[in-house]
Amino acid sequence: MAKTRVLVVDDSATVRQQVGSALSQAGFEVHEAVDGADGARKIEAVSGIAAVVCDVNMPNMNGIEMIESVKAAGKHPRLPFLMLTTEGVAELKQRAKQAGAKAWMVKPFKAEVLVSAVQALIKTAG
Amino acid sequence: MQMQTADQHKILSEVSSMRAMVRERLLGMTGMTEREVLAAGQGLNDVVERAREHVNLTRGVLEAAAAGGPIGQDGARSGETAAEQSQAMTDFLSEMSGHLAAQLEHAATAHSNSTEIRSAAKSIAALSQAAHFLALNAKIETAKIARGGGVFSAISTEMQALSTEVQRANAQIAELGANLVDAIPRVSALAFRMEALTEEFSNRLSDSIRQVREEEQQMRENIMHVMQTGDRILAEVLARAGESLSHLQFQDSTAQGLLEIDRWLHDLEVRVAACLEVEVSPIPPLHMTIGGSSDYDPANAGELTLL
Repeated sequence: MAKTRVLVVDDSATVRQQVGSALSQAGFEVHEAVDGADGARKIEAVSGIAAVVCDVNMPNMNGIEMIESVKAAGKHPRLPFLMLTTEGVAELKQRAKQAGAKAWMVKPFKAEVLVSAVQALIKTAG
Repeated sequence: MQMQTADQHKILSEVSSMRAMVRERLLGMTGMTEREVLAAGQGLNDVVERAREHVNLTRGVLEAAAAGGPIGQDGARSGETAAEQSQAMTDFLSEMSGHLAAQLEHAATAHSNSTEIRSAAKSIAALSQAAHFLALNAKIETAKIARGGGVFSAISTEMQALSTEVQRANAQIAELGANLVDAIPRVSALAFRMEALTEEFSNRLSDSIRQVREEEQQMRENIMHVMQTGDRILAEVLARAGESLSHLQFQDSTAQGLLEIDRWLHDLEVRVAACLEVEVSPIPPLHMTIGGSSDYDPANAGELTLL
């Protein structure tokens, strides 16, 4: 049985490693992107991405811009995005929601909460 | 007034010096943080992976033991084998006990037969006695008849011989019967004793087998408990390792604090210069995003909001 694919977008290799490790242990197939632009490319290049975990502040293209870009392309209307960030500003959350993000988690995260959230988002989107 | 101005210049100099020191520390930290955290994270991951390998290996061994299979290449299912052997021995003893019961039955029959033999011997003895008297009478009659007693004499001799043979056979039968009658109760008693011992031994063996099986079941339950506990502990280790990795990255909150100090020192430098009415061009505050935003609040860490 094929594993469910999740894309992790973060400019920090450490965060990608942590998130990837937590999701892999939960049975997901994890793909990585180093910034928003790379994330948008990976969403198109890797088929069957079921959810995206992404940072907000990243070089080249931030997480919210990435969501806006993907949603504007219209190819993945049901793809859920979970923002994993140190940011807690209400305006940013609101902007992310408008862009299409479904959840917002403040770093540092608890692996079990992140995994549960990703599972719930995929179930809801499915 | 001159002195005061000198003091203020000294303060300005101190502030600049402190800023330089803070910036140096800050730049050093940002250069090191990511690499160090990554190395620490990799180390933690390695530890977790090794722990997982060890737990999986242990789990395999315990699962084999719980299933009653061989533990390792040379291991044997010793408990099960012992139980099977004990069961075989119990079956054997049970069969032997049956044979002994049949022998007892035969002995009882033999005892009855031997009594009949003795009874027959008594009858034969009575017959022998009668024959003996007949032979004696025949001799007397032979003596009376004298010359004409040739036939009686022959009969008397034969009767005497018969009587003697009968008496000898009767004595042998009686002796045999007596021996049988004496021996059979002793054989029976021994057989009874053997049967009792066999039954007692069989019962004890059955108890031992039951105990072994109960202990084996208890051992399997203990093993299952150990496995479940191990799984839970491993899950906790993984969760805590993940949190540690996550927190490791946030040593840069220290860097965030230094950034703030740098901003304060910058403001102080500007104000002191204004007081002194001197022209200064302080280095602007650092604007860096190290691991997150400047308004990061650790109290909100891990918080999940559905949008």
